[in-house]
Amino acid sequence: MSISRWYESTGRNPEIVLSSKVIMTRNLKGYNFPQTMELSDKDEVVKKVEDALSDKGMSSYRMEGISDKDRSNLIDSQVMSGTSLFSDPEGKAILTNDSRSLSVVVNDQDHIKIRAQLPGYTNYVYKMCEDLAVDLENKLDVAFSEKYGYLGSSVVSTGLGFKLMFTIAIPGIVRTGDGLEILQSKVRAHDWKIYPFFNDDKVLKGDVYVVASSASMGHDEISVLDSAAKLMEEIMMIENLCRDNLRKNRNDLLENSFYRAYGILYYSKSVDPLEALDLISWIRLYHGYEDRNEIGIEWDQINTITSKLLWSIYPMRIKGSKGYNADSKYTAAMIARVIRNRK
Amino acid sequence: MRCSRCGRQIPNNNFTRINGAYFCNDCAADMGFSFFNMNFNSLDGLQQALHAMNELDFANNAVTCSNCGMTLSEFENTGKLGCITCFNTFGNEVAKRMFRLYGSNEYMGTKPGERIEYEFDDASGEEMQIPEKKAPEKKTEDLADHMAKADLGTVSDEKLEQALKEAIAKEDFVLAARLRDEIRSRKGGKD
Repeated sequence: MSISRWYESTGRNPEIVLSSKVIMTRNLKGYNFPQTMELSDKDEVVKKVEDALSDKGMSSYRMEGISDKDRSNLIDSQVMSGTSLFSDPEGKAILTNDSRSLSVVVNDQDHIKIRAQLPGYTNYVYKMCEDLAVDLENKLDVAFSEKYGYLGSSVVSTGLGFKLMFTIAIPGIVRTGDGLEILQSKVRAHDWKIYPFFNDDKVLKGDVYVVASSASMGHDEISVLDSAAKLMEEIMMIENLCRDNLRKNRNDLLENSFYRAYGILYYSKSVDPLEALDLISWIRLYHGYEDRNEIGIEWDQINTITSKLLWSIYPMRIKGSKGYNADSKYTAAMIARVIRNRK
Repeated sequence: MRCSRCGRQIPNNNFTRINGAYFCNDCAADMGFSFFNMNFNSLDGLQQALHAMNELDFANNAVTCSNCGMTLSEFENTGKLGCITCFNTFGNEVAKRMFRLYGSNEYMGTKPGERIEYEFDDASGEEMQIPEKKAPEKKTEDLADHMAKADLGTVSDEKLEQALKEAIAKEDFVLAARLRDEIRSRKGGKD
C-alpha cells in the first residue's frame, strides 16, 4: 500500500502557494555544536532525540547508511535537499512521520532542526513544529538564555529559533512589467525576504520564489505570524490582479499556451525539466478557465509536478548527483503519471 | 611596567599603548592621546592613536573560548559559534552582530516549554486526501461566455440548447439570438 505524502493533497490558495513551512532549531546543553562535536557525542544526541520522540510514530534514518531509495524519497518529500547531509553524513539522522510533513534533522548545523511543511497557505505548520519542540523541551535540556533566546550554532539561528517560509508560484507578477519590483518592495516593507527558488542559478529564473521571515530579535513569535498573514494576503492580491490583467489583455495567448502545454505534458515521451517548468507555468496561469469537459487537471497535480521538478529533478540534473535518474524520459514519465492517474 | 615618558610604575591596565610603547594615562593625556577627552594636538597624533586602537583590536582577536577552543577571529570570519560558552566569550561581538542583522539585540520570544496563544488555521490541510475528480461545474457557468467566442457550427445541439437557456437567464440577448438562429438552421428553419 502506498502512503500518501503531504504534497499530494491540496491546501488553501493552491493557485499561488505551493507550500508553507516552518523550521525550528534547538540545541542541547552539555554538547558542543555539531561542527565541533566528537562523533561519540553526536551518537549520544541522536539517541537522546530518538528516545524523546519514541512515542511519535516517526521513522528514523541514520545518514551514513541510508539507501538510495530512502534518500530519493526524502528528497522528493522536501525533507532534505539534494546536496545537504550527504557530504559529511556521519553522526547525522533524520526522523520523519509517514506523510513526511513533519521531520527532525539531528546534528546538521544545529543539534535539532524541526521542519513542518504543508501544501498551500497555512499557519498550522507553526503549531505542528511548536508541539514537537515543546515536547522535546520538556524532555531534554535545551540551550536557552534570557538574553539571547534559543542558542544556535550561528547568530542567524539564535534568538526566536524559527523561520517561516512560503514557496510561491507567481507567473502573473513575473510576466507583468515592474511586477517583481513592486512585490520586492512590499516584502521589504514587512521586513521579510524574497528570493528565487533557484537562488544560485544565474541561468534559470523561473517564476517560483521563496518568501521567508527574517526577524529573530526585537520581535515575538506572534508578531512574525501576524506579519506573515498580512504579507501573504498582499502577495496573493497582487498576483491575482496580474493574472486577471493578463487574461483580460492576452486571453488568446494564455488559452493557446495552456492547451499546447497540457498536450505536450500529457503525451510527451521525453521532456526537458526546464521546458516542463515553463509549460506548467502556462497551465497555472489559465487553469480554471479551460473547458473542463476536455481537460481534467487539478491544483494538487499542477503543484505536485512543479514541486517534483523544482525540488528533485532539476537540481539533481544540474549537479549530476548519483543514484537519481533525472533525464528527459524520466521527467516525462513522472509528469504523465501525475497527470493521468486520477482516482 | 614603567611609562616610556616619565619612567613611573604604571598601575595594572592603566596604560595607553602608542606605536608599541607604553605610557601612563597622565603622560598620554599630556601628549594629546587621551581617549576620554579626544583632544588630539595634531593630525599626526590622530593617526598614531588610531594605529594604537587597531593594535588593541587585533590583540582581542586572540580571545579563545575556554570550552571548544574557537577564537574570536574564527567567529568573525565564519559567523559560527562552537558551543554555548562561546556566547559568554564573544558576548559583545554576538550582540553587535545581532543588532546589525535585526536592528535589535533584545529577545522577546517564548521560553522553553512555553506555547504561544494564537488562532491557528485548522489541521485539515494535514489530513486532506487527494481530491476526487470534480464534476465540471465551471463549464456550466461559463458556457454562454464560451459560446460568445466559439464557432457555433462545431458545437453540439445539446450544448447549444443549454447555452441558449443560460444566455437568456443572463439577459445576453445578442448571444441568445445567435444561438437561436443556429438551432433553427439545424432544424431546417423550423422552431
